[in-house]
Order: sequence, then C-alpha cells, then structure tokens
Amino acid sequence: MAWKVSGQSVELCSCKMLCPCWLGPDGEPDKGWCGGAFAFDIREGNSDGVDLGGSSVAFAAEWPGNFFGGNGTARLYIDEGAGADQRRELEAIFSGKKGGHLEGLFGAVITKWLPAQVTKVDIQWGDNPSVTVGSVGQARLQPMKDPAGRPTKVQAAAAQAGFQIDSMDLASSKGSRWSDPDMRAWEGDSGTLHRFNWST
Amino acid sequence: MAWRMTGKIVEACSCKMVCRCTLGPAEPDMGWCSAGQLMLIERGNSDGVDLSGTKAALALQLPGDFLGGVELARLYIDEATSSDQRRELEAIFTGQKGGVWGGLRDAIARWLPTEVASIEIEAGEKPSFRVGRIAEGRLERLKTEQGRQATLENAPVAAAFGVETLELARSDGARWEDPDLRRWQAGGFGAVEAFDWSG
Repeated sequence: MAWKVSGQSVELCSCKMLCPCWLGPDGEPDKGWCGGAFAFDIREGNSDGVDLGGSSVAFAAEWPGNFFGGNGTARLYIDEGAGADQRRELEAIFSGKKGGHLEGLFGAVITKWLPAQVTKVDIQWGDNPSVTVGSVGQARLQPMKDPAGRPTKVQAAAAQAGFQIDSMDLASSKGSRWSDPDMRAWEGDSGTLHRFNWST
Repeated sequence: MAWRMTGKIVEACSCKMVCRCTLGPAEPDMGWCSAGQLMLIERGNSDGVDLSGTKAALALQLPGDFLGGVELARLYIDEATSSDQRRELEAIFTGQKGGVWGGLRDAIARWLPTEVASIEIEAGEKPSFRVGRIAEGRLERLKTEQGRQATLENAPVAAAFGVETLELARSDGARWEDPDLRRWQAGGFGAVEAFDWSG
C-alpha cells in the first residue's frame, strides 16, 4: 500500500476568484453549488513498485454546496499514455483507495465516484499554464501578480490543509470550461497553482 | 513633510471572504463595496509630532470595485489624540503628506469632514474594533486545525495600501452605520495586516 507522488498541479472551479470553499465551511459558493477540477502533473512517483514519473491524472467533481459539506460526485481522468499498471495505481491513489490523506479527504467530501476514464490529459506550464482533458475540459490560467510582479499567494487555507498543499498561487481561469456529460457543465473563474509531495 | 508609521490594520467589508476587490478588477459580491479600515499606529512620527499609540479609522464607500475608485470616504481620529496629532494624522491619511496615502489621493473622489470619536482596536488573536456608536466588529481568525494562520500575500490591490500580507479573519456581524455613508454589515471578509508607511 506504499505510494509516493510529487509534482505540480492546477485547480480551477466555477466560483469567482477566490473560491470561498478554499477558506473553510462558512463560505457559500457563488452559484450555490461548486464544480471544480484538479490536474496533476506527476514528475516523480512510485506505487508498490510501479513507476509513476511522467504520468498525468485529472479529477473533476461537483458539490451541491460548499466543498466541506461533502456529498460530491467525482470522476478521475487518467492520461492515455499511462500503462495498465500505472492506470491501476493512479486510480487507486487518486480515488483514496490506497490510503494516505486522500483517503480521508475524498472519503469526507465525495459520495459518488463515476467510472474513471482514460483520455488525453495534457498539462502545459509557463506563463499561462493550460490543461486539456480529452474533449471534456479545457483550461488556461492567468497567474495573478502584484504591481512588483510577485505572485499572489494563499497559505494555510482550510482546504489546503486537506489536500496537504502548503502554498498556492492564484491564477484566473476565466474562459476555461468543463463539460463532462455525467456532471453539471461549468465555466471557470477561480484558479490556483501548486506543488504537491504526497506519500503514505 | 517627513513622516513614518508602523502598526496594524484591522479591516472588514461588505463582501464575502475573500473580498474580490483585493484581487481586482472584479465585481464585489453586492455590486458595490463598503469597507472599514482601523489603523493601530504602534510607532509613528510626523515632522516631530509623536504618533505612537494613536488610532484612526477610515470608512470607504465604493460604487463598484476598488479599481473603479472610492466615491466617499471619512476619517475618524481617536479622541485621545492631541490637536497636533490630529492635524498630522488627518494630513497623512488624506494624502497631503505623500507616501502611500498620497498615491491613493486620486482614487478617493470626496472626503467627508473628519470626525473625532472613541476608537478601540484589538489586532491580536481576537481582533475587534469599535468606532464610537458608528461601527463595531469582532473577527475570527481563519486557521487550520494545526493552528496555522491563513494568509493572502501580494494581492494586487492590497499593494496600493502598502500591504504585503493579509491575515484572513471572518468579520460576520461587523457593522458600520455612519449616517452620511451607506450603512453596511460585513459580508464575512476581514483581515489583519501589518503596515510600515512613510512619506
């Protein structure tokens, strides 16, 4: 059951910048509900002997209210470049079935998992990070900065602790969209960029 | 014209957490935004006048987000200050003595006459404020279960106020009821911020 993954990730959702769910259970999402997605670019990783370096996986979910209220519906999208062993391990890790903090987190906020899909998951970095998940999700983010060019950051927000993300840079996801036919379609505004280093 | 002040701001506004105006351009939750900034000046001096331990408050009324400008503002100065201190504080905060407040001068269309009132500000673990009978609020700091303070850093609009880090704190229940300004209750956004201003 041992696994370790590290890399960079992108998150976006249907709320205006900044999604109030990041800051705790007291905030109401702008639309009353929240549709969100995470994309993970795994630079290094291993799960029970299976190398996960260079793989990509995305997660999308919808919640009827604030993220902390739970009752979410979610799906994983695993990059088609992954081998069968990698797909099995990535699905187990990112759905919380292989323990670690994701087990507790997703156990608390996701009630229904839709079947995982294998599709193209492409994550590009640089000045304007982008994520493409098959024909379902297309996102392009505009990192936010102060007049001196320093990245706008949030640290120690409640949901960051749940994801074990120390610091996140804010990035507008305006113009992005997510339209999985089995979930509510939404367009982005709030967005964040992070590094992760997770293990059991 | 030389002045310098260091201390803490306790802030609340009519927006939900996080006030989108700090990240502007953005649409405030109410369409408009009203904000209160309470300034606890721990150390300060302006042209030889000691400002240490003084307190001031600022009410801002905005028709939209901050980048759209402030239509109306009022400064409140604590009644415990001397006439010299009041003169210097009013000159600084209305932008007449330069520095960060001088830079904000063009963003504020109209100032109501300054008022002298009893001002209480607590910027520690349990932030709170009171401005006479006009405004009061108690803030709840946002922290993780491990006790880490949630912060917003390098927000584009906060930079205009010379603020780098906002320690986020919910302001539910706070109110501001100046008869010459739009009355408002906090939407939830609040923060405690350190400042080091000079001009």
